[in-house]
Amino acid sequence: MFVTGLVIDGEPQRNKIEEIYTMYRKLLFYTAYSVLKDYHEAEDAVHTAIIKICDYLEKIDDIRCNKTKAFLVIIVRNIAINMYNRKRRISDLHMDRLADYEDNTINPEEYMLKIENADWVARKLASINPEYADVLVLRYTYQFSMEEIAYLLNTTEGNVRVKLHRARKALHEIMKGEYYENSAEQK
Amino acid sequence: MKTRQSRNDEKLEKLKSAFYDYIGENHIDNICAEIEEFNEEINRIKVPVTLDKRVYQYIDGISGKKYRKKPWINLNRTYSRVAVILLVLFSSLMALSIGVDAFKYTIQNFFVSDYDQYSSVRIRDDNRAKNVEIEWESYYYPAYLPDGFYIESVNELLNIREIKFKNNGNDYIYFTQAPNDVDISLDTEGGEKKEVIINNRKAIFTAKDGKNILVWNNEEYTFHLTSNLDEKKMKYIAESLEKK
Repeated sequence: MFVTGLVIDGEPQRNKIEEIYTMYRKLLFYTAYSVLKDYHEAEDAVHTAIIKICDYLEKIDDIRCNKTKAFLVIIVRNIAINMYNRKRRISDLHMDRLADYEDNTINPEEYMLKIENADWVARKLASINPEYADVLVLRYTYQFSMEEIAYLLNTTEGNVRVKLHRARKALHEIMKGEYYENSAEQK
Repeated sequence: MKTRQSRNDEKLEKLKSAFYDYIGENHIDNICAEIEEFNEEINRIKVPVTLDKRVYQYIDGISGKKYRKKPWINLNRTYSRVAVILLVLFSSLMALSIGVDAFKYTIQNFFVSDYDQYSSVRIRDDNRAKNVEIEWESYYYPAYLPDGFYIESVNELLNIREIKFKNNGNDYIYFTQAPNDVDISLDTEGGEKKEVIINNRKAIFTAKDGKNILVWNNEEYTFHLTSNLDEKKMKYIAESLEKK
């Protein structure tokens, strides 16, 4: 369990979150509004995102870099999506088994081959569902634990596990060519 | 000792993690490319003033809570005592002044608010300046001003427009706008200068002798904000400019 605000103790941390908000407030609000199409809800989503981000400021080294910018977008976008789903009582937790996806049918060489088209693979994954790509990036690139991701996205750990499971499954399908061969976008 | 199979699984797991990380890096690049694509639209969006207020209050609130708690309890006790004394004084004054015209005006400006533990007495200043009307046709005006500020005066000279805001304390905000080709001199010599960002554009913030100056511009105008308010509030005002 995380306690909101405890880490924002010193002046540098305070300045950091202030700088982040001042610099990206429009981007954050635009992102939330794009999902929710409601000014008040978008406002709530951004406010929640700032509260969450406050607890992980130590992970942000360079405020202006792309990694920070994308991180902020991912957090606020997913908070907005979760708010939207909650309000409309949409749940997507009911279908999949939660066991880790076994994609051992892909051999190491195939991963190396797909690296070349990683940009396309990432786009493809995001086009299947941006939340899948977002959870994947939070887990493997930003190195957050499942619990941390759940806190940041204002959702449950179960939900995060399902999304990560689906993300890996979708990636597996992309790798095996289900999307690859049929796509006109293929490089 | 691990079997050959489990070692292979472990290696494959590491490879997969690295692969997912690499896909993640590409996803980050894709998000940033998308942001670039919608940059104009993003810059045009108006962030609600209420959101700015909420967020800045949240940041301020967290930082101050810990240190303010104790003195605040003591202050509450002191306030209770002071309020009682003021209330007694006020009642005496009321009794003395009834029917005396010279006192009537002052007494009318007293306001009493009742709280659980004490009564607060304050004097309304009826002589304070009223908001001056702006009669310009096209100008920029801050959508956000800290509470209590009103327009004290409005001036225009050689395309340079200045609005002076004040509150009932000693705070002031001088806001100047001029077309980009007009030169304005500001006394920033010896001040502590630094670069800040206002609406995704570079701006200069100077602190000098308790006075802060913020200079920035957009496509058509250069703006100057001079005030004794802190940097955060000034940036907040600057970010909130709207064309009227």
